Amino acid sequence: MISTTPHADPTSPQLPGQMHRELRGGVRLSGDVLLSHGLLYGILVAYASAVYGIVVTCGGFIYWWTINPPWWFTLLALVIIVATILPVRSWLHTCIDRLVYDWHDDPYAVINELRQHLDLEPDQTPQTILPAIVATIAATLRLPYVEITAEFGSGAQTTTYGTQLTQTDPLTIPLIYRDVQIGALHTAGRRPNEPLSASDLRLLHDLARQVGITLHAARLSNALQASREQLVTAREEERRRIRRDLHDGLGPTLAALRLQLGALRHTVHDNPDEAVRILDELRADVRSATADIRRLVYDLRPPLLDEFGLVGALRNLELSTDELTRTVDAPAELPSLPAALEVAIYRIASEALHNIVRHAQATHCAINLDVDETTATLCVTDNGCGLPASYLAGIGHRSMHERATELGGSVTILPMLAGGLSIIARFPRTGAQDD
Amino acid sequence: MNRPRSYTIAAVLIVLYNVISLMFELPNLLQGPGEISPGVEGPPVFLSIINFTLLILGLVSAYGVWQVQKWGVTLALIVAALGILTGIPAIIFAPFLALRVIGVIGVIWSAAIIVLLLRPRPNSITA
Repeated sequence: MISTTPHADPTSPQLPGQMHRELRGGVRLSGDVLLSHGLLYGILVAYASAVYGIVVTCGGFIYWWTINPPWWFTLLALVIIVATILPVRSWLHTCIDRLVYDWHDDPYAVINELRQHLDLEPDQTPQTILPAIVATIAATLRLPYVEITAEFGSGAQTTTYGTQLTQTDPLTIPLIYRDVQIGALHTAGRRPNEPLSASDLRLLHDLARQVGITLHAARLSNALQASREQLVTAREEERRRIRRDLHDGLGPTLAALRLQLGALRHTVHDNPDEAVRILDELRADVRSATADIRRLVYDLRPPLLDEFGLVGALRNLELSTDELTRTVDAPAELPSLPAALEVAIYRIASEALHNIVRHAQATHCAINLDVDETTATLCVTDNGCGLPASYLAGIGHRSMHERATELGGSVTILPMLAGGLSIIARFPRTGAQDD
Repeated sequence: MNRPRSYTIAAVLIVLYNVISLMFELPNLLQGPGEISPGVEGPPVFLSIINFTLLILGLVSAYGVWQVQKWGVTLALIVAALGILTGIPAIIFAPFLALRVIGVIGVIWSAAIIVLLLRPRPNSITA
């Protein structure tokens, strides 16, 4: 009855037992169906009885107030009943169905039911909540066909309940959260050639709002999970890199030093000249090891940040050319920023300067750092040639975007009217401070 | 609450019908079985009890219809249909034509209530 088409993950979700039972019995044998049929046939019997009673009584009037009119009055009553029973049945059927199915005493009860069904889901993933949502909407509104298509990070996913009846008007309601369309809800009328009522549409739009919020939460949950995985992966990659550097670089250097010291011990008395040569080699190796350690430490956190602070580090960023002048504009008293934010700003500024030197043919660049209570903004502007028409984001720009996104920020690259480029990185301060 | 006019009329009709009927039914119920005229037996007690119950349920349903509640409309439809069904024997087996006419009026009254309750589209209702 429910089919799910996850474009990325083809595993079919399992419907909880309770929901499954409701779906099986919800449409065919529900109390509403029994009530509808009971009312229909009860009123039809009452109608036939009423016609018979009224015709026979009218016969009594016509025939001189007699109680027992001629037999053909009974026949007349039967003819009237037979002639009118089908149109009356059709009219009653429509009216009673409308009363039983289309009348929603309390729309909030339907929304609440949706929430309760969603609460039953152990994990709020798209694979579990979409079948629950379509099943709840179909069961509570007695709709024969409900389909939701939603966009998730892993791709679009479509979940369908039932099938659309022929000659029913299709209806599509966008699922929106904060002006962003997350997906769409597709449904259709309950009966051929009969569109959904206004109360149905109102309720569906209310439900669509709730579904939009739910799907947005599921998307956030998905993104959070992916982010966690990225974080763990990045940490492991970083550990592996440090381990490799220590093992392949510093380790052999120290081992070589130990061997050279052993050789020096044997030669220092017998062959002083050779000892001096070994000492020279030792000094070069120690210098190399020291450089390795510096590089390792620099990769972990730029030492300039600890030495001069963020503004000082920006002023002292090393440029590989003397043709580029630079100005740094920053608050005199920079508030305390989280270490991750300082590193991100420093790295982005460094990357931006590196790009200016390599590609912009600029003579001047301005670094502007602005920090208020909610946002830290870095702006690097140059007077170079700007971006080429066939510009494609390279590793440097992607790296800047990633660094900003990791901290909930963003990077915008704007061409300047007078030529050159402006790279603006914005970071939220609240989240960073919480870290 | 936006009550359709047909529901207002139906609720008034139900209350009028049930109050008037109660005024006639209550003495019958209290008096018990007996002759309504010389040589003519009155309705059986169980029929009076059923009628009395239906009348009370009818009043309850009138409240539901007035409040534009789905249960009220449903109950009113059931009571009106049962009112017709119990009214037919009264028409057919009535000893006097006058009683038969009263029965017919009751049946038409109930039919009118059914039509009024089924007439409005629920989408015009904001309950």
